[in-house]
Amino acid sequence: MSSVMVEANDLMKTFGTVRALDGLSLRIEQGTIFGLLGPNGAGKTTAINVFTTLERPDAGQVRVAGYDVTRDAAQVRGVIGVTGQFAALDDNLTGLENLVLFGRLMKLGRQQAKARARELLERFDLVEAGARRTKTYSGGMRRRLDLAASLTREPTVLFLDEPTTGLDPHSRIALWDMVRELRDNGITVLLTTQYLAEADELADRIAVIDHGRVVAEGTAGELKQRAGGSVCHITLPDNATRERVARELADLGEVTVLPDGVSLPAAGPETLVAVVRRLDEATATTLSDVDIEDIGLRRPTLEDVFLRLTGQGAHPETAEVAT
Amino acid sequence: MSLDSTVLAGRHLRLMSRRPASIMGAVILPLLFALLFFTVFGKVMDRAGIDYIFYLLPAIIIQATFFTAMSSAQLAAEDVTGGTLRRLRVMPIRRTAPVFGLLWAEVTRAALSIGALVPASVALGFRFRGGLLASAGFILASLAFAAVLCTCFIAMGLTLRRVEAVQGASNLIYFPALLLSNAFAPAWAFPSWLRPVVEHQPVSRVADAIRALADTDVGLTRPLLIATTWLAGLLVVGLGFATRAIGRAA
Repeated sequence: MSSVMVEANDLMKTFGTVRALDGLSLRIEQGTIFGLLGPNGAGKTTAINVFTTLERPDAGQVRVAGYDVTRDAAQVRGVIGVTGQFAALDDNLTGLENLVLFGRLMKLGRQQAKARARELLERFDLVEAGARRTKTYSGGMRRRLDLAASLTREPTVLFLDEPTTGLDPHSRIALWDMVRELRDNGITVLLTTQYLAEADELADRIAVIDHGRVVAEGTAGELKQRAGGSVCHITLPDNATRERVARELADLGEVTVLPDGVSLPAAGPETLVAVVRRLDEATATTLSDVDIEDIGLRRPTLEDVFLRLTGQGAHPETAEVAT
Repeated sequence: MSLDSTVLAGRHLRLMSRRPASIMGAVILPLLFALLFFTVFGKVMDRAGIDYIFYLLPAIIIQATFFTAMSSAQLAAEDVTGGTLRRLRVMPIRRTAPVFGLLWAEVTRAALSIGALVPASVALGFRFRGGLLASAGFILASLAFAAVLCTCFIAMGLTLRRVEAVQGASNLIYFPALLLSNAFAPAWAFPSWLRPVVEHQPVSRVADAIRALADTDVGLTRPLLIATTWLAGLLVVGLGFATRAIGRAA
């Protein structure tokens, strides 16, 4: 039996002139990891803020674990766990003290809070670090403690806002394992990320959001299929030559002009060989002035998914940051 | 006082105890000021007919309260920028618990400064002249001033959010409020055009009330009434701004 743990219908939220949410709707089944994927400014954080009662939507409804986030905000806060991008912990408290504090605020008794904190330190491999102040922690340890803090009282729904941004690959993989374990214990997880790889690894279902609404939803496999598989990417530093290179390669596939070069769908290594051959000929003649920085095959990225789905580039590094 | 604010007050007290600067500001610095002022101005003021330590203690208490309040504004701003407030707001606790938690912790710190300053002043010759009830009133009024001033400064910290902005604003309030008051120098020592401001501004009014509570031969009703009115008014304003700010501080 599965039930819907998060249900959002037609959410709208405007800040001044910025439309952060523009008809966002989604449903998350109990015991699954749901990835909310999008560039900065797509509305991910605003969506999380609305789901976690920090922000009221201008229009639309959200139910979390059956409670309406505007009418039953207090009940919602009692059943959710939230882990932010910035790991809000007290640097001058020890790991144990941080967890006890959250346990007490979640209405555990003094002894209960302590016992629960010890249990969590063990579960997140922080037993030794528990006695140290968190300012001595590495980025990965902080995130683990932060995650532990949002579990002081086992939540029904856990919100993870970019949980691995800024982490090294090793810590990232360790955190992924922990999130999977939580899902296997029946916790529903909503995770936001700008990394396709993260959503790919972790999420049972993914919603791609852009300009405040869901532009595609499905499993990682389904989305990648829509993104068109691998691409052959040619990096061209000079912006004026991109159109000419695109024309030259037009008969090899549907060429897309990107901010840093051009790309076309690749059936396999043979596409790369064909492209290299063609460019080799052309640079001897018509394209002799073109400076090619790099050519290679790569798996579809967030940007490719966006190009296919919305027909416009998503530039995580340069997109405007809207709250 | 809810359980949540008690837990959060405990958090702040523990954090303060680990910041040497917070003990410096609350205890050591005021003691130092008291000693310095007493040594430098004590004789001059005696010659002018003022029992200086009697005059000085309320001034130093008010100054120490400002130090405490300024730090409360900074701690409030740090809780906004560090994301703590955001985190607290998604937990099932009272919306105002973070404000009251910080307030209780700061009032505790103010009590600590008073607890250090009063015995030190007694050693320098200070005496309560008004009996037990008035002496208790002296302590209580000092704590009430601390509670109100900290509420206003916490509201300011939550509203401005940026730590540098908070520090700037703190100084902008502290210097005129304290120096243009009768805390350190009697109102008659100011130029006549400034005197009305000095006499009527709230810090002076609170100083009047505290001094009256330590004294024997002055009427208590009028200074207490004026000070209480000021404090009540400022408390309402401070709480209003703090509640408003905490709603937007996500």
